[in-house]
Amino acid sequence: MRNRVREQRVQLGLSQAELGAALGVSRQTVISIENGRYLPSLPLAFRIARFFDLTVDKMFDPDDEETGP
Amino acid sequence: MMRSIPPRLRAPVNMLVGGAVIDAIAATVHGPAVLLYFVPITLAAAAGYYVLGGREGDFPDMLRSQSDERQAYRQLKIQALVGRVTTGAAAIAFLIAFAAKATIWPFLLFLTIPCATSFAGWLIYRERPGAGEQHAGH
Repeated sequence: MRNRVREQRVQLGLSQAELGAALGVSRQTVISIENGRYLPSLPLAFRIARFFDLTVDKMFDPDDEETGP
Repeated sequence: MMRSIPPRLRAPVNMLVGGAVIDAIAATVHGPAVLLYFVPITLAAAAGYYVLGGREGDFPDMLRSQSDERQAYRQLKIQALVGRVTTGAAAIAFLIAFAAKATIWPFLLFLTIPCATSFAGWLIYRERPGAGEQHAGH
C-alpha cells in the first residue's frame, strides 16, 4: 500500500522525529510507515490523515499492494 | 510502585530485584561463594539495560515501557515466536525423555502449561457480543 506521508511531511518541512512526536509514535515507526513496511492501525491512519488535513483514502492508496504489517 | 520509577530505570530495577532474589536463592543453596559470579552478572545486566534504555530504537523504547503500536505489535510477534519455540522444545524434550525412559513429568508440565494458557487465552480474549447486536438469521 502506497502512502503520501513522506511527501506531506517534506512539504511541511518536518523531520521524521517531529512528525513522530506529533502523532505519538517513534521515529522508527514513521520511517516504517513511509517505506511501506508497516501499515498503521485505523486510529493511527486517521491521526495521520487529520494531521495533514487530508482524508484517509487520499493519504493511503490501497490499489498499490506492497506489504502488510 | 513501578509508576513512581522513571521509565528508563524500570527494566534495570526489575533486573536488580529479580537478580537479587536469584542471587539470594543461589547463595542459600550453594553457599555465599557463588555470589562472586552471580552479583557481577546481575549488576552488568542491569547496567546494560540502563545504557540500552538511553538509546533510540524499538528495543530501548520497549525497555522504557514507551512502545507505540508498531513496537507493541513487534513485541507480540516476538512473544508468540518465543512461545512456539519453547513449546516445540518442550515437546521434543518430552519425546526424548519418554524414549530414554527418564522422568517425564517436568516436560509434561511444560507441555500442559501452553495448552492450558492457550485455552485460557481463547476465553479471556473472546469477543463478546455488544448490546443490540444480533446473530445472523435473527
